[in-house]
Amino acid sequence: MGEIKDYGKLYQSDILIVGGSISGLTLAIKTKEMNPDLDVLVIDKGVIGWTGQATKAGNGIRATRKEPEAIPMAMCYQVHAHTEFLNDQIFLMKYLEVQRDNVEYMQHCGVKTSVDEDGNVTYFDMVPGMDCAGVEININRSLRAFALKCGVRLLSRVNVFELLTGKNGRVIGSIGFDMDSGECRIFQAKTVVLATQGCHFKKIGLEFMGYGTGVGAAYRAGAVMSNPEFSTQTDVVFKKTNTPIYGAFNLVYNQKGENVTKKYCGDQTLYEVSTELVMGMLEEVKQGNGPLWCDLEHPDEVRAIFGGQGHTMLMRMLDDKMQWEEHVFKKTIRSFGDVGLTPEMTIKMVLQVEPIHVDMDYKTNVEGLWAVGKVTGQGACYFGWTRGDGLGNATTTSLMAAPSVVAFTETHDFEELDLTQVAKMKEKIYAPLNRNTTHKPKEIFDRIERYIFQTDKLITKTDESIQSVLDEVEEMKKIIPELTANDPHSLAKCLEAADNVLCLEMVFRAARERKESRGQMYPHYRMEYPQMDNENCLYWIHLRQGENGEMELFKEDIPLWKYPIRPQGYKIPEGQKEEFYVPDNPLAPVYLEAQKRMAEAMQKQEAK
Amino acid sequence: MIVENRGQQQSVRFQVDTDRCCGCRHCIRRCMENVWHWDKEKNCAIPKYPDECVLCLQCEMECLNNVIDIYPIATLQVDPLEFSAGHITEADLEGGR
Repeated sequence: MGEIKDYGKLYQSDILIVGGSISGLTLAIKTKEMNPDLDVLVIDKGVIGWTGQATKAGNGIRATRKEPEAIPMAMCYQVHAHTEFLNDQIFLMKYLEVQRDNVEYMQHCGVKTSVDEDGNVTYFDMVPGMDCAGVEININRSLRAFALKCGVRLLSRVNVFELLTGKNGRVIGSIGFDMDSGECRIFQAKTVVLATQGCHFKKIGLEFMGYGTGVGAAYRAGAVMSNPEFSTQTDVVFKKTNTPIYGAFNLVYNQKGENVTKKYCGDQTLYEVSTELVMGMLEEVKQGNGPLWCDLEHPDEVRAIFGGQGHTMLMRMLDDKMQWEEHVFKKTIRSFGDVGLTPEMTIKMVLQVEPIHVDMDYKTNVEGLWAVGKVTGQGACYFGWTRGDGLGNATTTSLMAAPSVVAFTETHDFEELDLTQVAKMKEKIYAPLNRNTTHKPKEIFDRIERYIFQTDKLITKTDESIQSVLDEVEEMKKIIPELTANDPHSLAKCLEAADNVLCLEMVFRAARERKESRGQMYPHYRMEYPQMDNENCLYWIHLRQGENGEMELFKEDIPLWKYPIRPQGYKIPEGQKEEFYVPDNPLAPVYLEAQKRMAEAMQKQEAK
Repeated sequence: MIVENRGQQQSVRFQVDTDRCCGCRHCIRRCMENVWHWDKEKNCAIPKYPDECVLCLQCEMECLNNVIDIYPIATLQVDPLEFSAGHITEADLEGGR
């Protein structure tokens, strides 16, 4: 059997953080500050400080407002805003509490944010209870410098694909390879944290995505995944460039000059691309009334807010972000010409699978394994995403995870690595290098990319379209063991392709199970079940790898009897009792008042 | 050096003056999609995997000698609405490759 060093170079640390972008670095800094004696190692497939989705952001970072009533206000907004009533409201309350100070914490870590003359963080208004601050685009470079000062160790250009487990299933390490030399790298740790991003399938221009390897590794180690049916996000884009026309949801016109938004969605103002709008746009194209175009000559309030034309919003983009935007814009114009004020438009659909299920401390159900950042977007049952929450979520989740990560690490020892398991994992990871086959990972990526062209598969799902994807998943699963690689890059692509297919199966298995339609920003829509069904569908869908290796689904009822905000006419199920609106709960009157105020504000807006 | 990639949805051309590459490797460290690699024989950075490019153009901006020029050739070869409406077929996609 030999020793570990016979299989690859071994790295040992108290805490191993996989993923060195904003979330991973924030967690590393926070844990090191809480206990400087802990040895914290961050690894990343790119060069830490310069790669990661955060380095392509700079559109602001969200925070909860400071005033006490902000949290109930934000709760009232978020429970209704995107994926109505499916939030874990107790989780959301804690999240909003921690998110109050996250921008100040970034400042403390040396990150540049929008500030006033005295250096205090300045915010612009966002949605009820929440603010957004401007932030530098090179956030990771600043965090890297601060992490090194704190004594955090960093290891770049290492890609890991499997988790190593101990005798009782506890996660005790990870295995992968160096992205340049291809040599095997083995990691042993007391605590492992995944900050890997989720799975976002085939990338397209200016979409900066994960490849599902963290999701796949956690799933195979026994972690539960949740709610992947809420994975599709849609934007309206310039047809010339495939880049978003921010806030142009109400400015869609057909070739007859009719406003398509009004025609299919009525007089309500849209703040996101709704399923009805997509259905309407498709109908117009089917009827030969395309190409559709956007009236930027007459921008409305939504376009002004989202498109950065309102003066109060300009501060969200600092100089470095503006320079980048300008550079990309100039190059695009050189290739395609100016888009003009009446550009042709279409839609862009993106699948974002972020399903690792975590508790309020961002711990998974597997001992020794935590997950932070976007990889838990749906798995946290948090469902409170707003614009600006990419960076806000990354920092908040890490601040929430740090205390329990430190406590666990301080009270647990290293567990011996199982050489048989290491050998098996290594063989599995390197298998595509030794195959005499002709299938390339691009075959899988191109097939999956076609879903991103099809509204009936990503948005307006039918029984038939769901089944057709699941059938194709089975076909792709047969190709996966025949994928072949010839260097570290193509080897990584083969392994990513396998996890892409796994994540795709999660989305459509869960989508088949949820027989209703719900949600706006990340909607789930079934043509056969077009209504939201609060009577039968107030549950979370969880998935895990069964003992036979097959994916299994189970549901969990949402305990709305413990929560402040409930659907109209909600009845507490038999066997449960009221747990929120009880005499000794000081929050009960606060939430009654907050909901009353929100209802009044809505009425005023409708009247307007 | 000119490298072109023709993808299903996106096509891009890299024009790199490799003779003037100063070896700072900023392009390699900035790219999160692993497009750039160091060519030991030619002693310069090259876009080895251009089909991974997401057109962020940050490699261009970071390049110390300004030797990288990226041209997006097409960013939307298949319109999702046209494809979903049946105006573009699977056969069209196959033929376009």
